[in-house]
Amino acid sequence: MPNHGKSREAKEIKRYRELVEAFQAQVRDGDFTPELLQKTAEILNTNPEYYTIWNHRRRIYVNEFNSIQHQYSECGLTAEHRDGQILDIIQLDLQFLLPLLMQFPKCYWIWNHRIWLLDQATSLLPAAKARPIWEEELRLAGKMLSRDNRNFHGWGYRRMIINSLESEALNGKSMAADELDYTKKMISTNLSNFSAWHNRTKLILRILDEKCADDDERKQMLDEELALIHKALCDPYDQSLWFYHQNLLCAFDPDQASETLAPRLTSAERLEYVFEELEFIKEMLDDVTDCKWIYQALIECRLLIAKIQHGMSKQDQEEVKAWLTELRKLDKLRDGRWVELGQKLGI
Amino acid sequence: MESLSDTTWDVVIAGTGIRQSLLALALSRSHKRILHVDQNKYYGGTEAAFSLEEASKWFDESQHISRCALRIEAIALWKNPHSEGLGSSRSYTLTLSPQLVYCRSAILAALVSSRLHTQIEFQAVGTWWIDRDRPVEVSESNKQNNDATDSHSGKGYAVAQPSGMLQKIPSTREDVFADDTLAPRDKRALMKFLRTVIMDPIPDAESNQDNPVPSALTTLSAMPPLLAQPLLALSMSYDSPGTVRTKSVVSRIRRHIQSVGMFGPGFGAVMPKYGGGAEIAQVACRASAVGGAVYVLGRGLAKLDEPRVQSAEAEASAEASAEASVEEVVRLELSDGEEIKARFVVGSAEDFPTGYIEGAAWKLNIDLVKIVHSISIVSSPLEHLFPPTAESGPVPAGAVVVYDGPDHKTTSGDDSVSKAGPVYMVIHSSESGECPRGQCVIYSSTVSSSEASEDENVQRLDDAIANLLAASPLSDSKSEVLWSLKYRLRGRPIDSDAGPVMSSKSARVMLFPVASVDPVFDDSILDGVKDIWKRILGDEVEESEFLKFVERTEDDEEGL
Repeated sequence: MPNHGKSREAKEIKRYRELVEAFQAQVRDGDFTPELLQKTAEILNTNPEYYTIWNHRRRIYVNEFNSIQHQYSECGLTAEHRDGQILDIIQLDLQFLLPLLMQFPKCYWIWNHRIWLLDQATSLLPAAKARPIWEEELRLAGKMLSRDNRNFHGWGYRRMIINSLESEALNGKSMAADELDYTKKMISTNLSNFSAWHNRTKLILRILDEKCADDDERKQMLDEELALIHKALCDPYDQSLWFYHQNLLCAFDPDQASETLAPRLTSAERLEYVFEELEFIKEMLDDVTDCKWIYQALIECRLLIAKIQHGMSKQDQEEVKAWLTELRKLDKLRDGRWVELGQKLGI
Repeated sequence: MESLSDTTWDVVIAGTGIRQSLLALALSRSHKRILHVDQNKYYGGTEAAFSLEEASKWFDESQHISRCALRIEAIALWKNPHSEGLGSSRSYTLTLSPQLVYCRSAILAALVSSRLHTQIEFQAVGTWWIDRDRPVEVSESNKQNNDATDSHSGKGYAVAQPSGMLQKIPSTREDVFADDTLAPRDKRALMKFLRTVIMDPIPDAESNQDNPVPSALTTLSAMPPLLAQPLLALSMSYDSPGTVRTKSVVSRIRRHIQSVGMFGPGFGAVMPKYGGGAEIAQVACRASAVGGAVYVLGRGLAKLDEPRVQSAEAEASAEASAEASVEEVVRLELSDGEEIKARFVVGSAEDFPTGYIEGAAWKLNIDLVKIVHSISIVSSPLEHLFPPTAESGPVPAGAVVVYDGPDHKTTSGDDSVSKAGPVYMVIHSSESGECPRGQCVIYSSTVSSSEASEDENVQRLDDAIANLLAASPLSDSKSEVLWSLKYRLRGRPIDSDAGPVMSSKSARVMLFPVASVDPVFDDSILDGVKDIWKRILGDEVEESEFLKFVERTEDDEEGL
């Protein structure tokens, strides 16, 4: 039986080599025909990583687009038909790519080719006809993210699609609010979705800027986000939640506040917020004593207060010292870091 | 025409219930001559699925035949006289085996490794709900907590309306996150439990003397009863909260929670489309037939003659003769009089002639319990019970509602937790293929308590369903039960030891261990099947080959 496996393999390798040779011969002859297109499909179905073949495939398409364009400008092809033909080519190829994507989801070349096709749609077709293709692509991105919801390529791809859909070329307008809802849905499916939380930070800033939100509206947004993260922090062991919390805390940091969602809080307001956070986090210690993130967050709050107040009382220093001791117990891997922090603070 | 008596069969399997069907599947690549018979004219035995007419027939027949009495007994069949909503008979597939299959279960793994999963469509069982029909006190921790960050009631755990309220039972962190009726402290307690239950190693049942009590159990015990109760409901065990065997309960809850998300976000259990266990049995028999087994329905075992057990000298002299010893074979007579010879005969107690079972003095050292069941067809789809599992996730076809309401004797009292056992309702939407669009099927069960009359036990099922229908949102048009079938199931208590495969003195006749009453598919079924499979095939097989097949292909031959 091993013999048969090998000879089957040998046959496939031979067939593949013949295919590539025949293909390259035709390319040398400048033979950019639909028949050649079929050959590229056969090769790519077996080996989508062979990026040269993708290049040739695109050259064939460019040829076809040019000839369609020529027919429209010189030979009386109607705009309707021109658009229809271009659309067909693009949609057919997008369809061809789908099963390939399922089989080779990590192959960059397939994705690049996809993006190229979508860009061609934008540049060659009127916005009304190009938009549906991008919208379908957004649905595809949604399906991918529901299968692998922390895939940063998936999220990057989604951002790229949204970017296009918002662009003038596609008669777009801001989709930030809808995307914010989407991040909320993804978080509700998986609390630890770093990517969704990260996306949220970007979207909030955009929404506030687009709205030209005043300070009151910004404060309201901040309050809502704090309530959300408090709700999520019923699981204090989840690192992604603390990262988001930290991001919100930056609004109270005099050095970083200008880049946050609420840049113009007064010192008094900032202090009030941080003390509230301190209380909220301290309450967790009633039930949870073995979570290092809590102590880290408490120390950060104290440091933030010290920054705003330009100093830390002896009493507060003792408190931080106690927390550092706990941290050293719970996070032995980073013992050196906590020791250094203590030294830096003179504790 | 070749008759069945011309062959000496290697195995005769009696009954096409789930155990026998899985055995047939296990033997399907062994090239053994298998005759698989069933006294009924349908597949599935005590796990069968019926159309309305077939259910009616089954009910009528069961009034007279006592053979099935060991396992299942019909109680009542009822058709709503005031409603015309019932569809045609064939538009229903009502199953006697609506068991849930957890994603993290041995049976699912076995269906995959035996390649059967490609022929069964599994659907998601989505949300678990708890329904209490009396106002519940605000939990202690919430009375103290004044800064509930929820903009909602700010009240405690379950604020029930007089007509009853359905609460989603949290199985994941995300469920806890989303529940706006919980105070932060309660949320943290639930989260802690979810974490410990996932992280705890599976406790070794035998060495529990040395191991300290698992921390999941401790966390559960430390929780206020109102908070713990929905979690206990996840165990799907029939005991009332006071009498529950906690180690088994915790491992059942663990299985539930560890299963969620395994095959997709938001669900942890699946159900086979078109009739649950009945569908698995049918597909297994089909695979067995492809492997060469002969199937005969409508004929059962009427008589059984076992070979006498030989003394050592007799065996020695028999070896000396070239003839195959006639004594090595079991002689059977089918219900139509046909005589059959078989090397092995296997079945469940209800598939053997009654006289044989009693005569062989099989020892059943297990106390059996009784569970009352009902299958009810409801006139509305109860869509609110089937929210999508997650963003772009599968639409569930099943939902579970646990009713913990009071029994008739508890009219008032300080106990906010009922003493009677819970009622488990597994609801199948029309997506399951078991009923027409616009309706649903409710499979309910509860323990038949010895402290109440049978009528009272059955009444509890009706009360639970009435409560559930009353808890529908107002937009839902009046829902009512159109048809119901009630029956009694007798079996081993949940998670009790299955005991060994029982075999006769000659070792040629084997009985499957008694089935349990578990509303969740009992993985120990596979142990019994494997045991018998090994006894039949002996040295011909490695244990690791059990239910591990490769896909049958066209080019099995090597012609290259």
